[in-house]
Amino acid sequence: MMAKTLLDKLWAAHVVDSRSDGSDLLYVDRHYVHDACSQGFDFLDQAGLTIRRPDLTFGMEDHYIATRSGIARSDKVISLSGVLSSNAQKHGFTSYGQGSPSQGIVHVVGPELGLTLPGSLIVCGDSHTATHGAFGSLAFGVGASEIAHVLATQTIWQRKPKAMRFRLDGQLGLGVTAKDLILYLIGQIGARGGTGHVIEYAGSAIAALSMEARMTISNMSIEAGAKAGIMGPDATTLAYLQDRRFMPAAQEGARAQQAWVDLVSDRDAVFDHDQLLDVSMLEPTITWGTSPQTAVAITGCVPAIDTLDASARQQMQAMMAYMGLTPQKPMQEIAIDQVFIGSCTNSRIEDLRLAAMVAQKGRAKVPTLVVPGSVSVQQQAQAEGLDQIFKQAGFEWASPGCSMCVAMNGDLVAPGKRCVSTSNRNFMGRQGQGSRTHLASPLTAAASALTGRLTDVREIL
Amino acid sequence: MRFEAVNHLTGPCYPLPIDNIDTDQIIPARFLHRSRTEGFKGLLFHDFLQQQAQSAATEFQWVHAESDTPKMLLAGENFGCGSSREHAVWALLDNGFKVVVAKSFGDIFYGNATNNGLLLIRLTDAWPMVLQRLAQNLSVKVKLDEQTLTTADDRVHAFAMDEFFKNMLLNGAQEIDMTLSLGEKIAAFEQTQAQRFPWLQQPTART
Repeated sequence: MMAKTLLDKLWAAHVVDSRSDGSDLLYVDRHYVHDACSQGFDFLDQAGLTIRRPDLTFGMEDHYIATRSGIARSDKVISLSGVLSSNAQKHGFTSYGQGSPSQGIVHVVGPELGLTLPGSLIVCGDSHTATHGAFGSLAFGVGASEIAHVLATQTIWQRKPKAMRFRLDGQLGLGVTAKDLILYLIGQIGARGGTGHVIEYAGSAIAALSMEARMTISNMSIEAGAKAGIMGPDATTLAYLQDRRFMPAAQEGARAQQAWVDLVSDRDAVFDHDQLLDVSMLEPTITWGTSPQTAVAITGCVPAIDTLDASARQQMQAMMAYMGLTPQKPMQEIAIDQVFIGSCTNSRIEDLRLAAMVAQKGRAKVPTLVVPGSVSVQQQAQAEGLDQIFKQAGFEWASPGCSMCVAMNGDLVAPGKRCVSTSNRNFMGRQGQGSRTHLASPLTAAASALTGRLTDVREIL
Repeated sequence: MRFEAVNHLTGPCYPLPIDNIDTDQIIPARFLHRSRTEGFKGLLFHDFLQQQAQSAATEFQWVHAESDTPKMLLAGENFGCGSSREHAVWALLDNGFKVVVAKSFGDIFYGNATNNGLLLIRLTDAWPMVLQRLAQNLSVKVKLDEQTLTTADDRVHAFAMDEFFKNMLLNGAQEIDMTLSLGEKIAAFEQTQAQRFPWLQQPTART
């Protein structure tokens, strides 16, 4: 029998039908919908269709939710906040909205509730659905038309992507996190390096990571252009899932765990791209430009451009102009205006523990906003006293939501302001029109908050 | 979810030869609350254009200009990367764009485009030549059935196209009807799945 990759196995287990043109109809085990998916429901209504499996559809409010009282949101946005719950009522699916103890960012809550399980296929109208791949599920983002298609049929037509693997060995150094690792990888392969592929992350460096850290890596696979970022489940995965609300219990749980043992790439499996990397040489990594691929070590500089060809130079110059930077400026000399710690990339309990570890060593020099990923994370952090540490350091402690990552809920970075952010995108205007974003780990973000400039956290630890 | 079938198109193709134009540039998040019926006229590349105008002082009137013929766009690598927002496709369509030519596209954007009848053409080797030609004359003729793009100098460039997406565009997206006709197969899959992996078919909250 031919050796299979994890992608081969996940794919084969979900094929309902195949077409002569090479596309497969895949079954969707979990469909997550959030509060900015309304157009998908509009399409469903216009076609006069209903949801095939409301019991496999789960709603979570995150994009439009206000994280602080007194935050200005437009009337339109406020009116949208009821749309998801009314759709949930109308179609009969469960939705965790404002006020629910399970409210939070869809990519934080899905795993937290044990809805995200190994071997499942998950879609959501959000590109960071890749996050759930950390559990050995095939998870990817879809658009509004596809949302309507999944609602109506519980399936989606797809061409099978190619398989790429990173085998990551070695130990991450002091002050170097999963975020630094994924930023480094995106810097290496570029923002389209993974296009048309599903990336599998394997190796001892991945095995050593917590689920929270693994989710950070899978989450940003899309920033390398990849369809999904997957990892085989192991003892760490099982320990995380233990006792989660929707984790199968008793006999069924035992059966599930047995089935999950097979969710690894076979030893002889062949990948379209297979790369080995020792992660022990990595440094805290941060972006300088308006694409996640502009990752450099915190000890590095904005790149030189004089050796580039005219077109590349022009594009780099445009990024530098937008970011208010000049070639070869040392990263650590860049002064900042504010810090954001949160988003589906870095708002889980472990991220907040890391940030708090740094926060307790000083006081914020710039406004710093900490937004937990879910009510559950918020409560856990408060139980551990992390909120007090943040407040004592002058950081603002807010309520769960997408917040300043997506800047459509009242939390945003003002024009021309420079923000160190633990989110996933530094695109022009992503955090608000004219905003300047440097993507970084929670450690680097907290350290930079204390100094008011981009900072090597290793100086503080 | 229906659109007019796409096949032969002739119109001006405007060059925007920049890499990694993400969907936040195509349509900023603050406009995403608009419904499909409200549309996105005048909002395409909203903040991006202001930014470009500052740095390059280039004219971008063509973006929102009315046109009797379909408009086309030529971009660089990885056009439409980033957020899954289908609004990016709607913003292009609502401002008269029926075709985007680029060196490569973001995957989710590609699927979204096809679901709405926006034709995406990947050009690799021919890209520089087409860009050069557009500097003289913007007119381009596209034939999807023949998979060719012809510039004003009558030079014909063949492009590769996935059969799956080609058929969807030629037929005007009847995808969901086709899938709905497979209801029995889907039900059969669900039954098998319920036997093999009951935890996936019946998520049950612990009490």
